[in-house]
Amino acid sequence: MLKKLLGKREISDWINPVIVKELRQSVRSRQFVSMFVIVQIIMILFVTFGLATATGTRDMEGMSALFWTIISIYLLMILPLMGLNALAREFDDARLDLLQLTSLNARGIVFGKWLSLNIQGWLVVLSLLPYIALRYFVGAVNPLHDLAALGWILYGSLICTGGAICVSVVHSKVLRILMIIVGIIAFFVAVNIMAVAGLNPDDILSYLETTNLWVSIPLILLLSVPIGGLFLEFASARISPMAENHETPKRFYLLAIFGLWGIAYYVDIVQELYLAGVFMAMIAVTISCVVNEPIALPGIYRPFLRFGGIGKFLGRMFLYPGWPAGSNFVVAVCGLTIGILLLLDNGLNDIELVLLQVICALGSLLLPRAIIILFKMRNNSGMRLFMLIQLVAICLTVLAMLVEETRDWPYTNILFFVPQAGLLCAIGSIEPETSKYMLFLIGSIVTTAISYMVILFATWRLQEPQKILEDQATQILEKQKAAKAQALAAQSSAPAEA
Amino acid sequence: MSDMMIKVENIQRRFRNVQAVADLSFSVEPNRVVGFIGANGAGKTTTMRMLVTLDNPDHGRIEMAGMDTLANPREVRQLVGWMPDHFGTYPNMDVLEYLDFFARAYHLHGAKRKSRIDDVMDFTDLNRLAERPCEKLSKGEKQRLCLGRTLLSDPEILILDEPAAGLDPKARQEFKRLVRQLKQMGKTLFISSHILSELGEMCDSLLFIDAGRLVHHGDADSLTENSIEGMVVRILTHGAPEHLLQWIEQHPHLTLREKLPKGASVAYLVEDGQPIEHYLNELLRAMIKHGIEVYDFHREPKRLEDAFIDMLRDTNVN
Repeated sequence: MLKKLLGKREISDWINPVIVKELRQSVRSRQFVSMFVIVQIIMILFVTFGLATATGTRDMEGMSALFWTIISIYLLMILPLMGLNALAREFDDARLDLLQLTSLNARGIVFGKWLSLNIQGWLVVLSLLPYIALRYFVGAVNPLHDLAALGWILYGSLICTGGAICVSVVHSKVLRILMIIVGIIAFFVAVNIMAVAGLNPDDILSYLETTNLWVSIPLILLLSVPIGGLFLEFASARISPMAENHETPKRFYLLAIFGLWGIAYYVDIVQELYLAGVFMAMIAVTISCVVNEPIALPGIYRPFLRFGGIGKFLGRMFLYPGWPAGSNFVVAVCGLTIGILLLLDNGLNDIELVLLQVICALGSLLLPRAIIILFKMRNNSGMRLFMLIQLVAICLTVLAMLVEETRDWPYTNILFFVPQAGLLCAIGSIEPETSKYMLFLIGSIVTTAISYMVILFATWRLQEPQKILEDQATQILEKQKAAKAQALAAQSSAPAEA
Repeated sequence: MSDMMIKVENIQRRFRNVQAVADLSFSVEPNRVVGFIGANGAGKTTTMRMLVTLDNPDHGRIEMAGMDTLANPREVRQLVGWMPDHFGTYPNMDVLEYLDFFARAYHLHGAKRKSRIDDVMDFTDLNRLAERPCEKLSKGEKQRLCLGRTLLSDPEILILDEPAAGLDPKARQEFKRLVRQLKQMGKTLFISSHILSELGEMCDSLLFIDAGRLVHHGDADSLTENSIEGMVVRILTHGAPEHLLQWIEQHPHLTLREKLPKGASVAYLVEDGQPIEHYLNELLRAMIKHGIEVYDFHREPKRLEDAFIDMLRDTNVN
């Protein structure tokens, strides 16, 4: 029966080849074997020591804290650290080219790396289940709470390894080391939380029970899908050949995050947790939208044209990779944000301030692109130019703020037309309904509008080459359709002839 | 559809301030072995990466088996096998597992995958190494493994970047045998190398590239014939060769190519219309007349390397 279901394939044929390869390699690696053995030894020691000395519940609680700390160290620190090298190693050993020429795409490679890393983690966790069971027989622990805590750590590990894989595409070792340091700091916070949670596992659940548990947990789990997907998409984009489009999926992921945020905002749960994720995702995707150049390969446009006129329209307006459609997408997302904020204004006191922040953020994204267009700067260094312009604007604002502190004159007002200055002031200490607020609001709106007009004009000038690419893509599609029809006709005529 | 297997039209590729490939055009017929020759940094690898769709030209067009690399990169990849100048092997993996991984990555499933791996291992003579870890293979064995990996998808066109680099003479012979067999199997091969003499033997035609531009396209003979310095003569004398070297310097038609312990190798610029024998005769007589004690004097077949260097010099002068 199973053979019939599988056809001519083996079970392993249905699994991503990268997972098969990575698992084969990793379970033999010294890194994995030594880590596995060390965790087991520590666990045996702790359990033996704990059992020998335990005289009551308090002693077992102390042991629990250590137990959870070790699991957290492995899943939330060591595993992500292992992921930090995953793709960098492929770059260093120049193996990515070889993979790219196979039938695997960049997404498959990245996903395979991520999943195999997590499977390694699960293997270690599975080996720890007997210790959980042992603690249950000794007493003083609730195995359900243990499993729930383990589930949350695994969930955190999935996100952390996703982030690590995303970072691993960065060539610069310095930047990766910097990210490791940030990761370690985050880890200590996590360990602290988990250790406390280990002493009393009820804490995790009681935190969530303050809101609606049945809504908040699925929402948190659901949110991890687009956030994790976004991590992996960013990593894929860095290693993929030009012919693969990773820009559009990023935008879809952002929309999904946005939608979930809307729901979370509406039902008023765990907003802090959501907002952190949403803003991180928004910043990353919107920068990517305005920085990347359009791709001059007809293959990119084929999937859109399959949906006919609607696909072409949506592609041109919001979804095609590159800044022309990307800028429209950013404007739409910011518009949506303002819309949601105004519609769901459930007691938000500083709505005016948030409004200014969103407009300034939009201006900060569009202004550098407009400058790049106006000064016809080199296309292939878009990100560097974007960052340079941001840096100049931020430095000017900080300078003005410092001077303002020492002298009694509002120097920051000079920069009213610079959206970055407006954003920094809005985050800092600007009071709504003051003249300064109005000045920055009007200045930002004008700059943003002018920047967007420049972008729209440049987009209009790019219409012709875009059309040529679309025509080429249509021709390829038609050829493919004709070839398919021909093959089908040949297939149907073959039995008749026989 | 074009009847050429590889068709390159005016491609250009620039990296910041470096023009890696400048207006390069050539074509390769099916079932041909073509050598791609150039100094380091001439643009060979960049061109090859563009052929296999790993990079895209800034301008120009590439067709592989009639398919545009920009419009149909996926389809082109199914036709092309790429063997770069590095091995790309993985740690903690044996030969069989390595080939199995790539076969899976090419979406070969079940029995088909196993049979393809068997074929490739037979062809590259890797059967006895099946369970050996990749990192413990010799250079020649690694090279065969990489060729095996390239052949897994049964590509029509093989693009091999410096495949003979670093191989010992035995491994080179083995590699030449594999190239001949692949040609017999109907494959089109595009091979880059520094070892010109070997390419001359293996290839049906040679493409010479310098600073991203094509400087010659033809077979090995055409290159040596077209060279400006038509004849190379090896002269050995009794005693110190200084006397000979001084005389060479004074002779307007002679250019010193290489100093030898007991003589020199010289290029003789010949003019059209006269038979070669005439020049050889003249040269020998002049040396004896000048008191040079010649004990060995013979015409050397011009090496491909020398012809290439001459041609580059000629191109630069022009």
